[in-house]
Amino acid sequence: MFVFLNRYRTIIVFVFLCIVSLALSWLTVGKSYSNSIKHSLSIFLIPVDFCSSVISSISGRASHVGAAFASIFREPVEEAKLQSLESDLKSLKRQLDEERARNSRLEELCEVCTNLTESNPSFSLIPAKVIAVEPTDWFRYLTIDKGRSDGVATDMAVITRSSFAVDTSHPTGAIVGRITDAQENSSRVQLITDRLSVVAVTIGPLDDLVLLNGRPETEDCVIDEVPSTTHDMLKDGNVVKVDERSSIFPPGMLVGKISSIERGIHFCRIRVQPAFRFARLREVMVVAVLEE
Amino acid sequence: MRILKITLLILGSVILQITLIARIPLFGSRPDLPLALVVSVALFRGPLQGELVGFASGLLCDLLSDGQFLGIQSFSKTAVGYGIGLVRGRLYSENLITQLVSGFIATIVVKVVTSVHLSLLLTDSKFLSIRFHGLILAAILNSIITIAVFWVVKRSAKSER
Repeated sequence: MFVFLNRYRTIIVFVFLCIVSLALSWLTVGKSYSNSIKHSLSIFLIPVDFCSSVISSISGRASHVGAAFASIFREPVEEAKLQSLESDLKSLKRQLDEERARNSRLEELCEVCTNLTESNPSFSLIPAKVIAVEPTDWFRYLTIDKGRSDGVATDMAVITRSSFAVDTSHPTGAIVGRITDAQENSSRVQLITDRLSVVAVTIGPLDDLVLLNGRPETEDCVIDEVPSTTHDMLKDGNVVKVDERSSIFPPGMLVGKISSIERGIHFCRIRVQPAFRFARLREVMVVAVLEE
Repeated sequence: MRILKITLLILGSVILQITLIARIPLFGSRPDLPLALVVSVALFRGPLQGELVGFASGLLCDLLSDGQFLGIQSFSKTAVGYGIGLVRGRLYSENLITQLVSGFIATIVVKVVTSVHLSLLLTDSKFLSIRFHGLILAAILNSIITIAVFWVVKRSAKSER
């Protein structure tokens, strides 16, 4: 008997344990047995419960300490991220403001062009951007991004929107200068503030014809030797327009307004502030006259 | 002395399982430390110790679990301890591959046996559905920790000599 038990000890123990396990599981299917069996065996679990509660509390405290420690490093990282985000947002806002301003300028320029082409159907307008201004040519010349390949030719007028309204609340066009050198894809524009620029303009209530010369050193234009019979009727703020007989610029287009009058005995010198702002000149239109 | 060490190992694995391991899921699954102990003891000592450790650790897990049934885990772990112990003589148990494969297969066997056991007890076939993705993940985790637990069992046996 003992030899048999010893020889098959392993399998006998296995069968016994399986029977016990199955019996326990069968008995505990009904709830009443489960609670009573668990309760009777619970006394053996006291040290286990104690150890598990200790370990649980230690692990809970350790996780709190770890979270507090991690927050020390997380805050500067989050602050750096927030700062980076803030600078990105500021940059985006600047870009947005620039785009809005550009959009506003283009809308006004578009309206100017529409008014011009409606009143002068023979005009064709070529939009261009100012791409270069050399420091030595400040208030004298600038370069635009349109050239011969776009239909630009020498002596074509260049206009933009006026920086101040004249008669109505609608944006008004103002002359900027003329094309002096048209390359394949770019052109050079001589501004009306250039010393060598001469524009035939009208001033005063009687539209007296005079010549406007540029003065780059003072960033404006002058009309010299205006007869006293004319300048008596002039005052600061009077509008100066292109003469209708001008062969380059659109007739009646705004040139600027009188900023000061230096009155002499027989003649006077009139200073004219151009109607465009050089520092804000971004988009212009080249006026091409359609051949009939 | 050996019995005391085994008892401490069983208690330690069960306590760690219900306290630390229960709080830390790894990739949505959790390793079974008592099962790794059963496999390690079965590989190192043989089927008799394997089934006894399986029964004890399984019963302890049943008692400490929130489930209402006893004998579910003890039955499956007893079966695994006996089965793994039987192949001990045929395989080189100190080989890492043997330990990995034993841990992997043991997890799957425990899951299958538990599912069948519950479905027969409760006459409900829903227990037969097994989430294979979670099962494979748990089997991989168990096979990895079996290597570490085997090393612990081996060290504790060496210190007896």
